[in-house]
Amino acid sequence: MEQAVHAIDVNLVTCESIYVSLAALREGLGQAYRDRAAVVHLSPADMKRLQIRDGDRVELTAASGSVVVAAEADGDLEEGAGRMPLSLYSNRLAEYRPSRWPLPALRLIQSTVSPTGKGVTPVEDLLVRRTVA
Amino acid sequence: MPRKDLQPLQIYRLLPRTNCKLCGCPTCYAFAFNLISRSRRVEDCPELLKDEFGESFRALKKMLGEGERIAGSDHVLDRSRCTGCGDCVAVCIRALTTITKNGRLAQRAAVPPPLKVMDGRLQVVEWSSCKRAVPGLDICNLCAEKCPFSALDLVKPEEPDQEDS
Amino acid sequence: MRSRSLVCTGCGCLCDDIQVQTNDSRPILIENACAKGAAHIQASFNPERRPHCTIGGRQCGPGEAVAEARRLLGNSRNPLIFGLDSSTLSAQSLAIALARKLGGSIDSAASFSYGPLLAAMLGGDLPACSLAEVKDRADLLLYWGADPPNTHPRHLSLHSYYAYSEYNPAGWYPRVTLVCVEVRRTELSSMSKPAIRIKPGEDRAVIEAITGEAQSQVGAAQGLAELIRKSHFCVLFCGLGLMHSLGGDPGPLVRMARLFAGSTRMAVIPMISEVNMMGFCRLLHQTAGQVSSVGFKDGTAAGREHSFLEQVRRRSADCVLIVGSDPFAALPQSVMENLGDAKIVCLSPLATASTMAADVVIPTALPGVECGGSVLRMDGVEVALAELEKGAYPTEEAVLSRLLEIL
Repeated sequence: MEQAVHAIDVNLVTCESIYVSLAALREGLGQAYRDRAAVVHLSPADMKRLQIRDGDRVELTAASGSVVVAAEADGDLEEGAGRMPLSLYSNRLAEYRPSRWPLPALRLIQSTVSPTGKGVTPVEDLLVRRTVA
Repeated sequence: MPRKDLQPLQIYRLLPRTNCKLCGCPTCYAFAFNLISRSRRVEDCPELLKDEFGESFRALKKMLGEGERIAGSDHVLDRSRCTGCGDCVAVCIRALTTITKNGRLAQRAAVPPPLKVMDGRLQVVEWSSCKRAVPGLDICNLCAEKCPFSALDLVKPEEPDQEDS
Repeated sequence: MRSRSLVCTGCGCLCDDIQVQTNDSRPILIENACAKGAAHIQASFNPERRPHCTIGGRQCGPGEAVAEARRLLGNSRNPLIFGLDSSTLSAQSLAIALARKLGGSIDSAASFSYGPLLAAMLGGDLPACSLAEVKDRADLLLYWGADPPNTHPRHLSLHSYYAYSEYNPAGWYPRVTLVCVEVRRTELSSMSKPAIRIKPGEDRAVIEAITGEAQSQVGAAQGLAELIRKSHFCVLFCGLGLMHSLGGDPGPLVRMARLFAGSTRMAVIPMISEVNMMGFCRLLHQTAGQVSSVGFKDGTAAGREHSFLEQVRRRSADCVLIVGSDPFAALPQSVMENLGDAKIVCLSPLATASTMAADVVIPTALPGVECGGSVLRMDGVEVALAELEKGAYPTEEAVLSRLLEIL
């Protein structure tokens, strides 16, 4: 058996998903939103390299943060490519560095994927906490 | 896009084949027809719920999808996938009155649209207008074919009570 | 039970054929609206989806909250108003007046999405057309970086492809070509012929290959150019995918439109998701000459330093008034964390990540359900919103004009 790779780099493309918007409209930022938004689609080849199966959790780490989401294979994706719904989860990974790119990089995110035993990041952890006076 | 046409035999092979009648069908073969037409659900078979049939149960679920038959129509809708975009309604209205008669295009008398989106989901409101409901008209699949989320499927009209053994 | 016609404000489509049957002022059946629209209308009748009127997390009356908002805005040295993409035109002009009175800045999500494109359109550099024209006459629908089944569910069935008015007698087939340019397989690409697949970030290179600015050959470019050249009336629906990939710069699109200007008619429609981003950009353009990021501190100035993103990043805004928008969900959290010390006042019809982060929350009426008004659709056509039921919440207009009065 091939040795499992611990982590790989992927280029994540984010896209709007109607099911994420519907969950947010119907129930706010609850369980349904988490189930729909906390997903990353990877190429079958990368899933194999990481030795993970559909539904296994992975940690995505980018320059500005990390989240734990469920992985799913998508035969449409090439090796090294990933896809994720646009949500609080992808926005945790996105960064805004005007010196590099004039807009916040919400749509194309460079990230590292590694299998993890941790649970999916709760939505509450993704809300910006402020000390409300 | 609609699912590939399912064959009764293909379904039958996954059933317990005990003809126990607990699902309400006279035979397992009849149950297979009913599953394809979505007038019965996989869960209606008590045998399939047992552990020993776990694999068959999952395979059947995958083949048949989450769709549920909209009562009184050929339409099978996966309610969790339907976004109410109305593409099916729009193509249906265009295709509704154009038919082929003796190999030529012809016009059919105006009828009320069969499909409508209500509360954000597709509903069949006037089944009698659907081309599929009128014997002798073209078999139309457009609504299911044009569904962007593959939420809609069409099943063959109910088989006349199965001429099985 | 009564039946009412409604314009849906669930997304930028502004579907105007919605019928709602109500009983005891609650909707019991919503006809024609997509799932997103129906959920949007129902959300306004779901108390759990509405925010509470609060100051520092403590519930209070709207009068008290408005007074606190006034105090925070009045004490601020650098107030910033953000949002308004989903507000009516009258609320938007009140907000502009408020920013002027406060000597603060005003900005909307347009500054990091369609702003520059809308500026090019308002300045006459990019040709526009209405959705009615699309339906009647366009023969090439080109969706670029846009996936309407996920963002504007009824865009194709009500405004473009399936709504096309000239049909083949042989069936539903419209005499129109649906093309999409995307970086991945989407629900739209499965119905487009052809669906052109490009690499992420390659959009500019493709356009430059079409216009001949770049020597490099991009496979997709030639076929696309050929399709546009052969068409009589091509409508380019620009999605956020394209805008982000171009870094917001509409320049390549302007040059492409110029290139084809002689041979075909080409028009651009931005796939705006917000109900009235178009209206706000036009209003600001009329008052300040810019579509977004305007400051009124010393006279009227516009520029990057007045944008929401820059002010948040540099922590220069000390009080932010968010009107009907949800930047805490839409922007990277690493940016929004910079608002740690600023005071935030949030006017919102629905509970969102932003109402959860705000110091003062004032729930407002949902435009198009609880109050009427006018908005500009993505093609610039003015649409009058209907009111379904007057709710218990004040309108944005009422809150903003109260703030204007007492400041």
